[in-house]
Amino acid sequence: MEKTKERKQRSQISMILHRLKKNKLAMFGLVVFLFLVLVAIFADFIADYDSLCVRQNAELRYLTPCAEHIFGCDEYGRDIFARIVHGTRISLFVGVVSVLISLAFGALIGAVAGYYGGKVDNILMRIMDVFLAIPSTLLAISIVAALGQGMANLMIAMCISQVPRSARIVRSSILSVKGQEFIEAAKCYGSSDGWIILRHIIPNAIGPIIVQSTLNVARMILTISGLSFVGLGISPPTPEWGSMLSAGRSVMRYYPHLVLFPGIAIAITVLSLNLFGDGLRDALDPKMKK
Amino acid sequence: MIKYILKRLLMMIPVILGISFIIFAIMDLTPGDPAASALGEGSSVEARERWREERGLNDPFFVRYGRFILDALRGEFPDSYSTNEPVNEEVLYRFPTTLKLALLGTALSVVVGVSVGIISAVKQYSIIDSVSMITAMLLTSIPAFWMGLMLILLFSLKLNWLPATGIDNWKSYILPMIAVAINTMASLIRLTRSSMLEVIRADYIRTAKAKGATQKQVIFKHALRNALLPVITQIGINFGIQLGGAIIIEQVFAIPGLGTLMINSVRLKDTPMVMMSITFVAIAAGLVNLVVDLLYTLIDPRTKSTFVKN
Amino acid sequence: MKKGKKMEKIFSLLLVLTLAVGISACGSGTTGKEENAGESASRDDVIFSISSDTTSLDPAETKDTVSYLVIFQMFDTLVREEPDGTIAPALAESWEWNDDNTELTLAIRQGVKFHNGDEMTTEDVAYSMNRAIASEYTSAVTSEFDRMEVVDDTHVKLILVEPYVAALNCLCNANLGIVSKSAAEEAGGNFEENPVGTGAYKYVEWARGERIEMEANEDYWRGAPSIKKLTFKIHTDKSTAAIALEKGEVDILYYPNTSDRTNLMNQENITWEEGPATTLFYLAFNCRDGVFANEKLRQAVCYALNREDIVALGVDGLGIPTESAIPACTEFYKDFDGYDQDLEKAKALLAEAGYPDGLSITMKTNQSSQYSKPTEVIQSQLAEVGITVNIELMERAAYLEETQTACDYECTFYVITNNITDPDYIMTRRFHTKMEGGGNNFTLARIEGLDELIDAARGEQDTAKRQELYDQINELIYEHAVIDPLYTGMTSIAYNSSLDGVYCSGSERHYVSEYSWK
Repeated sequence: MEKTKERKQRSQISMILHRLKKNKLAMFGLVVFLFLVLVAIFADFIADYDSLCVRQNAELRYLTPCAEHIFGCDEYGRDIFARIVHGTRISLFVGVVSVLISLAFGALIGAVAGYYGGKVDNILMRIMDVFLAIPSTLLAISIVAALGQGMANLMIAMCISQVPRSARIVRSSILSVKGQEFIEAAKCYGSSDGWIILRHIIPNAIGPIIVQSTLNVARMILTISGLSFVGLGISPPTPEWGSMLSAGRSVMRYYPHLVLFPGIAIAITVLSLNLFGDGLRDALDPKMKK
Repeated sequence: MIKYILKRLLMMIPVILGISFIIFAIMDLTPGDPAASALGEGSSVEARERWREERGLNDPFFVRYGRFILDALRGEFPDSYSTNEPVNEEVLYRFPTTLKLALLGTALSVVVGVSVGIISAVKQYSIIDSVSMITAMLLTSIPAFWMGLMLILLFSLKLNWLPATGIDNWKSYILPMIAVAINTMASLIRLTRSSMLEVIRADYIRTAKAKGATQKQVIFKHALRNALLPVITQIGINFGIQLGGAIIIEQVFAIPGLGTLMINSVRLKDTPMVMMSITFVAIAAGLVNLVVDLLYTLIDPRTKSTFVKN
Repeated sequence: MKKGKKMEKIFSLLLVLTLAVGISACGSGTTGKEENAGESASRDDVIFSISSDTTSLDPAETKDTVSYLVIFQMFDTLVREEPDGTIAPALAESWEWNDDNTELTLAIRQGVKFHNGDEMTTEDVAYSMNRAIASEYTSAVTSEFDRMEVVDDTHVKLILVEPYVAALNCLCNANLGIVSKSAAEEAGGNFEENPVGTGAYKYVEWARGERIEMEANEDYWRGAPSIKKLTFKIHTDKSTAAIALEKGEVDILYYPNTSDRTNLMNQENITWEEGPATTLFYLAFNCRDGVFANEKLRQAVCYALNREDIVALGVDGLGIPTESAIPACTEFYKDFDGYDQDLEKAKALLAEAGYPDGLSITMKTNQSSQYSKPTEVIQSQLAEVGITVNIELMERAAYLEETQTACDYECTFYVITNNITDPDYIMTRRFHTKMEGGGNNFTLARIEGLDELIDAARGEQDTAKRQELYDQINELIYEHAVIDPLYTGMTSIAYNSSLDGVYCSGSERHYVSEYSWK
């Protein structure tokens, strides 16, 4: 019985993949995202970090785009292109890692709440509601203020404000699977609760979770750039897109290139994730498409 | 019905208490001496100590928290550390600005989002549909604060048509309204479209068509009403978020609203102000959600059973 | 069918309602003020742009420069600092020190009227002063004051805690503006809602976060001001304020953004003035705990820095490289030869200090650009000699607590604003061991003889002798590299060229009553 189920799952996956491949926008999103991942990995080969991203050069201040510095230079004479390339690394890393961590915690809480239901569910979800009622930007800001600035703390803050959302998604996915017959069957076989959650519920609920997480990475990147924009970001001279925008803001009237390119970089990254996540959702749930 | 409302209101109490506790705890963990901020860097050690003593800041955590809650229940609110005025006055003073912005942003996103969504659904697979779907995708992906910067750059700094920041007159609200609206507008376009499509395919619409109703009649009399249900919930949620969530947009446009107040208070470690403003926003958002749920019954009689049951 | 219509109606009604509420609400915010710079001849009002709201309109409850600026228009102090730095009579016509510089007797001007029509008495003066001394907000300028006593109908006596010759400079501070005793007592804690002083302008309205309005006091003792209506408009975004000035929507822009400097200077109808401010930007070392207890290492860092580049990159050139611990526009400032950049010396000293391969340090800094930008330049300069700097950005309150109060830092870029134009303010607060910890002296340096010199200087009336003492203090600070003075800040003001009487003031003393339209 296990085997047939696995086979069934595999064919389901290949069908999903097939549908995904046919969706041009989603594939476009995927290609762009993979390209950005490559940029992040090979950033050091594209532009040298120390000489272009960190070293200050008074003569190149506010240089407008030219052949040598295609995106121009910032207020310290640093190459904006190089900083955007290295910024890809920061944004993707923080975005992906904080989503994964919040997902892990959210999944735990959501799975427990969804599986056991009743009082446990009620209490856990009420606590989540409390967190959800605080504006998430502000929650993140207060946490960063409490912990101090820096990449690690920013990620913790993002995770805490994200966990309730993940928990809700996981919980609702689990509730949709829970009532089905094969779970009842597994219970009859005497499988333990943990085993059932891990082996049966999570694999079956994983689809929507993956979709949500892809879209969440996109949202996370937006939020992080927003937080850095108001000055809660990552310590200088680390190139981060939001803090680049914030630094360029007071001179954007005279040197618009300082705020133009980092913003485009954010938009492209987020767009690629959104396109892919959206396509994935359609592929998982073909009813939505037609 | 009244019972239901009362029950919902009662359910808000533990949530509000929870929020106030979490915020109080976070603020307590935040490093920084409020006395130094309040009295200035040149102030003497004695003056700072006296200031802290007057406000009971040397008491243990739970004593301070308990005092805050008990005072708040009696309608007494502490003074802000930075302005020395009762925090409720300042919050109420700032609230209309934020409310205006949230209302305008919601209105714009609803008008554009819902109408574009409907057109897209009705003309599915047409060029209008593809263009609006791609635009919606782009609008969800652009950081709203960057959009704000670009709007300022174009309409204020280059073209000189609209004020860049502040809230001097109605013109000042145009750009922030757009920046606030774009993200939610995009999600409303998509939501309205998909929900509309689902409804159009439903049996009763087919029946209506079969009975000879015109396209217009079908859409406005039959489809729209049902398609808008999830949209209205979403609008309510969006509005709640915007009441407290336009923090970064308010920074971009230098709008003296609640968002600016909250972020400044966190920075100055003005605990009473942070507590008051966040709790206020949470209550406001809770009430908005309640109103939306009640509106629901006006549109969809099926949900009335919820109240009866409760 | 019927229900569908009802729903439609409700829905459209809702939309109309939201729109209507929104639009009408916006409309009410209109002030309808858009004068052009060209029509100045017929004008008698001035719109002054400030970058933040005042914290209070009660002199005894303010502590920031913007509030001082606003307070100065409504309240007069006993003595006043003139643009050239001298101290001139104001509500006090003359004054006299006792022999050991612990008591100051002031003769009060007669016939001065408060905004409410009451005549100012010595009772009001002593009340105002004691009220300010009792307030926690004024400790920066009143910590040396014990109390003020009424001597007779024309004289009051200020009693100091110890000999303190800078007391007169303190009396110029807006915190010590004279308030009406009856009005203040009547208002209780709400004096700021209806402030009554003797100043050139009377309070009209304060729309928090938006503007403060005042009207001319026709009975002003210096004579009725030429500008009849004064509005302080709050623009928290300075770039916007600059645009408003260009468009003629505001007339004066106080402390504009440095990035708008070139553009504003090039505008035909705008005048830009700049000059030294009473601020000193410096690198402070923790001389007691951590790596910088090592004097050689401190000197190595001092030799590694280039003031000109820090000024050029960190503050757009708006700073005066300063090697003295006394900022440039303060009394007793003298050209002083401190550490100049010398990378070879820096590396040699670094090796001598025990770090031949360099080291890694953490610089905590306030996240506001005033601190973080120069810190970034310092970071880049120190990298040249092998010192890796990790910048830790912090919110202001946390930054102050960790570096100033708890003294938990290695070295930090810091700015001190001299609330009074006397060097003692900086010297005592930042270098005297009695001020260690708690937010004032956070270098924690123990230099033999420094305390005595500072004490001697603050009790010395003779200018030449005092100068000599400050020179010695400067020399000691330099020798032990307690701090590395980097630059004196600059202040600037941009205004409609048709306005007369505006000048740039290092200590931000601006008196609108002296302005007039050409």
